[in-house]
Amino acid sequence: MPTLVETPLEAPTPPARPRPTGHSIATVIVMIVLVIGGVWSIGSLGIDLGTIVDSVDNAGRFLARVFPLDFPPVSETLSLVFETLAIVFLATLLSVALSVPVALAAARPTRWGVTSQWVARALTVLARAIPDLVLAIIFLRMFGLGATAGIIAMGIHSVGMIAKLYADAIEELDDGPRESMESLGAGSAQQIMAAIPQTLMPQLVATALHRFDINLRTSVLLGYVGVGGIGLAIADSLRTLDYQRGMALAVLVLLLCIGIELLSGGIRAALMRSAGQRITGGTWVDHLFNRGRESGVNDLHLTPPWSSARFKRFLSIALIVIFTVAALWRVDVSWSALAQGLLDLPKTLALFFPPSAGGSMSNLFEQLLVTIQISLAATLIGAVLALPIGILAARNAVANVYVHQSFRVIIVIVRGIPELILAIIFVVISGLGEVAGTLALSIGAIGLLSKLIADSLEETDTQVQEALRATGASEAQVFFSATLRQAAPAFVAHTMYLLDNNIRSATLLGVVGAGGIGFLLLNASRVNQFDVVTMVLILMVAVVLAVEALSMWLRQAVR
Amino acid sequence: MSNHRNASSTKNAELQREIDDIYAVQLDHVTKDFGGGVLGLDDVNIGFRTGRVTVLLGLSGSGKSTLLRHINGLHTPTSGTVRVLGQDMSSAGKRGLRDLRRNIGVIFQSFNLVGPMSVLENVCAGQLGSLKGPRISLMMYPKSVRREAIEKLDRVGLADRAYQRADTLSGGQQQRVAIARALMQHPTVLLADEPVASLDPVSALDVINLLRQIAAEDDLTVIASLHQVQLAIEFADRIIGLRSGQAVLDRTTEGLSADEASTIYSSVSGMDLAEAAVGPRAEAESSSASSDPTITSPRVSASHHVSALRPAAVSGVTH
Repeated sequence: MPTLVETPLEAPTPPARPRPTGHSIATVIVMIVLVIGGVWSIGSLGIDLGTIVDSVDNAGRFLARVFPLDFPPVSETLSLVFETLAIVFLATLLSVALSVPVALAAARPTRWGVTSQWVARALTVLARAIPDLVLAIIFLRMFGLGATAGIIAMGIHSVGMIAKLYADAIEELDDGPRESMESLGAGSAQQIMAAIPQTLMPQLVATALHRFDINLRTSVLLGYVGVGGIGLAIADSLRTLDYQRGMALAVLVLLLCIGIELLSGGIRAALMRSAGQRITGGTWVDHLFNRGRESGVNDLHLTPPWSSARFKRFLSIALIVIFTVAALWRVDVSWSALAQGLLDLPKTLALFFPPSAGGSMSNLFEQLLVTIQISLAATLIGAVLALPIGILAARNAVANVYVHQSFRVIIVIVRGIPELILAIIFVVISGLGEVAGTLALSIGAIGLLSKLIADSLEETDTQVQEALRATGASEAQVFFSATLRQAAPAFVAHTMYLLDNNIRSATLLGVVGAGGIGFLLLNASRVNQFDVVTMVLILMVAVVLAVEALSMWLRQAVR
Repeated sequence: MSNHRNASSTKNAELQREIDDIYAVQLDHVTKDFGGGVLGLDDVNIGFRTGRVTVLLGLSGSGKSTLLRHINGLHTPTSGTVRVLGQDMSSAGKRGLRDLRRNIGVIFQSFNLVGPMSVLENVCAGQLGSLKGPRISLMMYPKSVRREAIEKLDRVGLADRAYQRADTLSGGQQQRVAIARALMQHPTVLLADEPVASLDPVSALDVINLLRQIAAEDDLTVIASLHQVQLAIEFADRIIGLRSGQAVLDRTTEGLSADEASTIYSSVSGMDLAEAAVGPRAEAESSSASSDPTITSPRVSASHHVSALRPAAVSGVTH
């Protein structure tokens, strides 16, 4: 295959086409290898038309087994939802609390030393590389079954994303206000507290809300290993083959995810809008609270008036406090178990070392390969299907308003469905194994990638298209020569990002029975083979980092 | 001055005290090497007399900001000493430096207010150097501080904007808030780094007049960098021209004629402004051919105007 590409072009007509550089040859080879790998994976996982037809057949039986959905009584439903939200809320709060000092240490303007800056950065990378599932297994061992382990696991793993984004935000901030505080004699803590929190607050909250969405999806997964909430209820129902209850709960999760995503998206949009807003004054709040108040030097209150901005701020803080108290009360954190678990930390860690293959290293590699195949196959299927959907959803590719808007709606809906729920459904339909995982990941991939494709098509330079249209090119010619050509590098970059994502997800989906090394991980933790958990973790982190490096390189190369 | 610095006898110490009384800020053979042969300051010797207004003139990169940043310790000199208010900056230590900075107000070109914070809280922050511990809301400042902040705001004419977000004010208003914040420090020295460079001409004049008035009322030692010669002459008691990190001009503004004023810019920039603007192209080209090492711009003509004002010491500027 490489020789095909390296064959020099023997074009006799000058000017000779420049020889491809080694770099661009490598890029093409890697892309071809990845596509071949995807095709091979699809074949080797046994995904063909036959399987899909079988699945359709199975789906009929599945529907018969699942309907009517058996929702738990309202009080129990609310209790489950409340518990899940409480766990996710506390986990996100914990990760924000941990991320702030880490981000301050990792960001250039606020660091207190070069060494601590590197330590903080290393901690962030490490927190991101270790899946919350593995952390949950460790903490469940330390603190016993229940919410505590899940909260701490998600809290720590989320630091990897939140602290990174916070540190980036601090570094992008104008350093002037902080420097002005330094120049008037303020100490370093005074400088940081005066100049940074109010400026960054909208971004800090938006990042936390985004992470809340992600953690809500993860919490279902953690339910499978024994953290409470809806996930545990789903796992219990499916284990007893109570599909009517299990699917009802899955639908509940789906609604919850979409609802929370809409809510947090709304709050984020409102935050960003109000960030640059001028103060208008004279709202009903002002009339209610500040009647007859003097302004200027005769204002003897020396407190800020209750403007609507202050009112909202106060309300938000009050809500956060109320949520925290309610969540702590609901999940009933056992402080003594927490303390005991921390005391036993060395003993617990000793269980995880040295890493062991649990008898068969080749079995581990076999399952690792399956995980890689699942993500390759899902990425390829996703990319092939997402391309037309993304094009049809792009405003500037399809002239018909109804067509591209309805495809946008489809994308939003597909994106709202957690991959985990899809995996659970497919496991039920087509049985345990890698086909379920691949199909679930493929659908998730379509949702993500078609949105990215539509967005990058819409971001292309319209002047180029105008220029072609001016020469008399047809709409199709304009699309293929101008629009698609411009969006091509973005398409490669997004697909690589997707592969990167899928490697992580494929591992985790194994836990619900969707094949691959994740399933081994769950089994090892069930039979207390914690040294095998460590070995699986090492293999996973190695593959994830390798794919991430490859994906970063390729994204750079095609830019 | 430097001869007295290291002397241990009481007589010399007394002499030093007298000098400190006269000069609020003294730069003694100050050189700043940024590495790679870039000299931010090149052997600068200047004493800034207590209670006087001095303006630094010079092109971007001439060393104005670098000089100002040495005075409040944001830069440390590679060699030489900086004395501020009778204290050697290099021996002040971390705590001493903070104490010293409390007495030095700084006005920045980009105002450097915390945008989303209320105007009043921004002004209160001027007291941070005298307060212990961080403050994260207006209500964490003592009532006396808030009271005083309102008074300072009234002084710059913005008391009725106290509870507005700082970033909703116009540029000129923001700079006045920054002045109010500096006043909260009760400074004896006020540094202003191109305080009006981001403002329209009307707001610029406003801000300069306010600074002039405050300097007179509070008897402040003001050191400001400016780009506008005319504003500088109206504002300052003394003008210092900087080029390539060296002081190339130093004179009082008293009795400065308009003709002399027009030559100031040429002397600090190394180019004749009038010729650069309208001069014949041929002359500009012929002069660029002559290799005068002091000339940085190719369109510059080494003019006779310059030599009249430029001290003889300034000759070979190496790059």
